[in-house]
Amino acid sequence: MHMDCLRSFKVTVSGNQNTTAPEAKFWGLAPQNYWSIETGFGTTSIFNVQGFKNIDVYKIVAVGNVNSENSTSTKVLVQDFNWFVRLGGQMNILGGNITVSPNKFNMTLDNTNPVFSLAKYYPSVEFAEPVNSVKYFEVLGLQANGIGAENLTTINLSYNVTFMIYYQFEGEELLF
Amino acid sequence: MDCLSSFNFSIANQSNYGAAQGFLYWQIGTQHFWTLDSSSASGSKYLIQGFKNINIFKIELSGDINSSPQFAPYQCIVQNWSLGFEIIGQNSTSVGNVLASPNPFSMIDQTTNPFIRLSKFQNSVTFETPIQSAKEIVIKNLFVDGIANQTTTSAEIGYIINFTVFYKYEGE
Repeated sequence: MHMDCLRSFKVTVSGNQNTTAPEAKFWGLAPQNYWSIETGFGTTSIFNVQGFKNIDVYKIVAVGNVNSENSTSTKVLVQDFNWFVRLGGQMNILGGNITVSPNKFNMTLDNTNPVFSLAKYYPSVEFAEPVNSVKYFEVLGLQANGIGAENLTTINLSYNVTFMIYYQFEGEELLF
Repeated sequence: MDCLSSFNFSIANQSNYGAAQGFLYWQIGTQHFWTLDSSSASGSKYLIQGFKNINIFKIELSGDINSSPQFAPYQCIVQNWSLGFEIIGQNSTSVGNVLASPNPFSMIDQTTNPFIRLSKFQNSVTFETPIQSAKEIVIKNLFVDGIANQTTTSAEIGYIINFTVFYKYEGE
């Protein structure tokens, strides 16, 4: 599928939040002060696709960053982060199967309502054959970690990330 | 790339890796460092079935490997990772050969069943001439390294990594 034939829409997650235990954990000896957080999952953000047709999704790109606000006293250095997102639709399958055993790395097809991890260093996922009949896009959670926690009970993270979603309407073939 | 089809599979797991699973640890001052080599010849295998084999033009990984607050007291900071996999098929026709000696870097010409390693910072590989007649994709190696392992005997990590395989059916 050529990108010229696709449409796109975008949704943004934007916030500045303090995170404490149990979603945030600290360890290590000063001056390192390592930390990690995992937030969301129980409460998710959902974009519902509405209108006459569902959409077929060909690509998702997460553009943005996660970092501390300079103004707080709960600053950290973010070394890595990833967003877990879900597409409510059906993924194409090839004639094939996964060897049940051994399966050391827990390979799975995840064909219905697939979950993807969009990370700091590779924030996109792309398909030549789309995820079909998508009815919703869901941001499940944020995982981040790093060093230099200024405060050992609270982490402040600020984020503004735009998810670009490239799609066609189901059953349509654009001709330009 | 316009004419290609694609299919997907994922690997999703979380484990606490100790010495028996390939975890090694060392310490300099108060700094903890660690590596993990989780390899298996059989690994995890996707078997391509149906009327035709496929020619593979691109493989892209999306995802990350990290620790989590849920894994305390076995948390760690992951700095890099890579996944090694073998494609059971024929590599593109070679246009030369490797000089047998000297060969200090062990250069090889993988004419069959090429082995490829994709990593945190280089997640995709593309071929203009495809890997032909692909029948299997076998994930064999996981290498991870980092700092700040909270416990000296093991580290717990988790991952959801999606593989998108771009292909054409053989002969089409």
